Amino acid sequence: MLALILRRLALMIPVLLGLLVLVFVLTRIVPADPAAVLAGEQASPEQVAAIRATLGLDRPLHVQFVRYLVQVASGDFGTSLYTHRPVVQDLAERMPATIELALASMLLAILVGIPLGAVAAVRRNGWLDQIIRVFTIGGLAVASFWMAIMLQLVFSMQLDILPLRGRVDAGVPAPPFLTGLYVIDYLLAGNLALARHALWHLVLPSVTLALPATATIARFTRSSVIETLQKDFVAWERAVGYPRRVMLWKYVLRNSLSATVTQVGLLFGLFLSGSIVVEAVFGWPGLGDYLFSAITTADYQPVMATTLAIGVIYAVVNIMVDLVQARIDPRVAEQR
Amino acid sequence: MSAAPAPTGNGAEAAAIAEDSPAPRRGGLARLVGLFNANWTSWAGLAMLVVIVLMAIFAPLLAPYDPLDQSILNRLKPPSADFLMGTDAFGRDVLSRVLYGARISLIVAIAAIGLAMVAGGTIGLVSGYVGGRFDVAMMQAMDVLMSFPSLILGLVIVALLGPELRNLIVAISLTAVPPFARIARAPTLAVKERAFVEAGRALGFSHARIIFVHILPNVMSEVVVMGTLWLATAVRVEASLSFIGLGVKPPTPTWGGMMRDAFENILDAPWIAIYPGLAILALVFALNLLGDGLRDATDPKLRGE
Repeated sequence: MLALILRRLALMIPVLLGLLVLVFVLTRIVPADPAAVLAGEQASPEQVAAIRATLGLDRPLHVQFVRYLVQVASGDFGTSLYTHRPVVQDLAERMPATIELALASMLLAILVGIPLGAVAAVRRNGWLDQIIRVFTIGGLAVASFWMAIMLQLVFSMQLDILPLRGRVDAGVPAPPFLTGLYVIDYLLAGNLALARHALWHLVLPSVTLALPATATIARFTRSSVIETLQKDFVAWERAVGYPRRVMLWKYVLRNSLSATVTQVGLLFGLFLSGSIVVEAVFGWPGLGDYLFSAITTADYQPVMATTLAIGVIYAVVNIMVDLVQARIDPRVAEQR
Repeated sequence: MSAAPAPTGNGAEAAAIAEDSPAPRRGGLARLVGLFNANWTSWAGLAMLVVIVLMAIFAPLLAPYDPLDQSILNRLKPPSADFLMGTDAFGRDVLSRVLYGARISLIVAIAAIGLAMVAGGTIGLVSGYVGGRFDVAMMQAMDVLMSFPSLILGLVIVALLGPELRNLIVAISLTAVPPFARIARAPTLAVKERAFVEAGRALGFSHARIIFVHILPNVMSEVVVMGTLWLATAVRVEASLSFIGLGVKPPTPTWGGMMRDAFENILDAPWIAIYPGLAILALVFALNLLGDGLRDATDPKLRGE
C-alpha cells in the first residue's frame, strides 16, 4: 500500500510541473501587457518599463519561469486587484466552502446514483430501466446554470421553502472555524438550529451539482452490475438459493463498484468546473465564485492561482480514488 | 491501387470477429452506419439533431423577427401570440434569438470537436504506431492536459486570449484532444501487430501511408462514436463559457449569453432564461442519445442489450 501511495505521488510530479508550465505560458501570452495594466492608462513608457523591470518581465523567459516557481513554492500568488488582499489568503478562506459543496454533492450523487443504477440493471429493459435511462441521459444534458436558476425560481421564489443564496442568511455569524464546513462546525459548536439552517442553504446548490454526477454514477453502476450478474458466482449463488436481496446488495454490488469508484474521481473534476457557474448563481462564497468574479473583473493573478489550486485538488482527489479502489479491489493494488 | 490493400485489412479483422460471415466486411465508416440499426435511441437522437441543425440553417426563414431588433415598446413581454417565447430586456424576440443561437452552439461544437478529432486522432495513431519513448512522452503530455477539468482549461485559455469565436473553438478543442489521442492509440497498438501492416511494410509503403490508409479505417468507428459524445460536451462548455461572460460577444445571440442577460430580470421575466435552457437541453440530449446508442452498439460487453 505504501509503495502504491509513493508511486502515485511520484506520478503527480510531472503532472504538476506540466500544470505550472501551462499556467505560466498562458500568463505570458496574455495580449495585454501586465506592466501596462498595473501602471494605469496615464503612465509614461518609462514608468511602464520601470514596473516591467521590478516585476522581472524584462528578463528571459526561463529566468522568469524559475522566479515563478520560487514564488509558487513560497505560496506567493500575488495580490488580487479586486479584493486588495494576497490571493493565497482569499483562496484559503474560500476553499472550505467549495469543499463542503463538493462533498455534499458527492454524497448525494453516490446515495442516489448507485441504487438507481443497480435497480436499472436488475430490471434491465423493463419500464423502470427505460425511465431511469431517460432520467440519466437528461440529467447529463441539463446545463447546470439553467438547473440552478430553475430550482431557485421554483423552490425559493414560488414555493419559498428553501433559501435563495449564500451559505447562511446575511447577519448569521459564521461558526468557530474547525473543519471549515459550516454544517459540521455548527454541530460541533452544539448549535443544532444553525446547523440545520446551513444544511437548508446547502440543498439547492448541491442538488444542482449532483444531478449530472448522479446520472453518470447510475449509468456506470448499471453497466457493471449487468456485467457482474453474468458471472459464474452469481449463477452459483442463485442455484444455492441465496436470498436475492442479499446477493444483489452484498455480493454483486461490491464486485461492480470498481468502475464506479474510478468515475467518482473524474466527477470531482465535474464538481470543480460546475462550481464556477453554480456558486456564482447561488452566491456561494467558494473558489468557483471567486474565479467567476476574477474573470469578470479581468483580475489575472486570482484566475491563475485558482486554476492551479483546482488542478492540485483534482490531482489529489484522483490519487485518493486510486487508493480507495485498491482497498475495494486488491487486484488493482497488485497491478500497479 | 491505393484502396486495394484496405479490404485485406478489414477482411482480416472480420475473420477474427465473425468467422462464419462469408461477405467481405466494409470499411470503418460503413460499419458505423450499420451500427445505427442496433439501437433505436441512435435514430431518435439523429432525428432530433437533424431538426435542430435545420432550424439553425433556416433561422432567417423561420425566425419571426430580426434577432437583433430592439424595441422599447416591447420590453419584457411574456410569451403571447405575437412573441411565442416572449421578449427580453431590449424588446428582442426570444424565439428568434433561440433559433439564431443554435448557430453559434453548432459551429463552435462542430469546429472544435472536428479539430480535436483530427489533432487527437493523429497524435494517437502516430504515437501508438511509433511506440517507445516517443509514445510514453506523448501520453504523459496528454495526461497533463487531462489533469485539468475541461471547462476550467477552456475558461483560462479564453479568459487570457479574449472571448472570440476562434479562441473559443481553439480552447474547447484543446480540452478534447487527449481523449481522442487515447481512443485512437489503443486500437493502433493492436492493429500494428497484424499481418497486413507487416505486409504493407514489406511492400515498401511509407509509414504515413500505412498509418493513414491502413490503420486509420480500423480506428475510425471508435473515434467517431466518441466524437458524438464530445459534441455534447462542447455544446455545454460553450454555453457555460457564454454564461460566464466569455462567449461570443453580444449582441450575437448565444444560448448561454441569453441566460446571462436573463439573470437581471429573472423574477419578472423568467421566460428569457427558460427557453434557451430548454434549447441547450434538447441539443445535448439529442447528441447524447445518438452517441450513447452508438457506443452501446460498439461495446461488445453491452452488446445484445
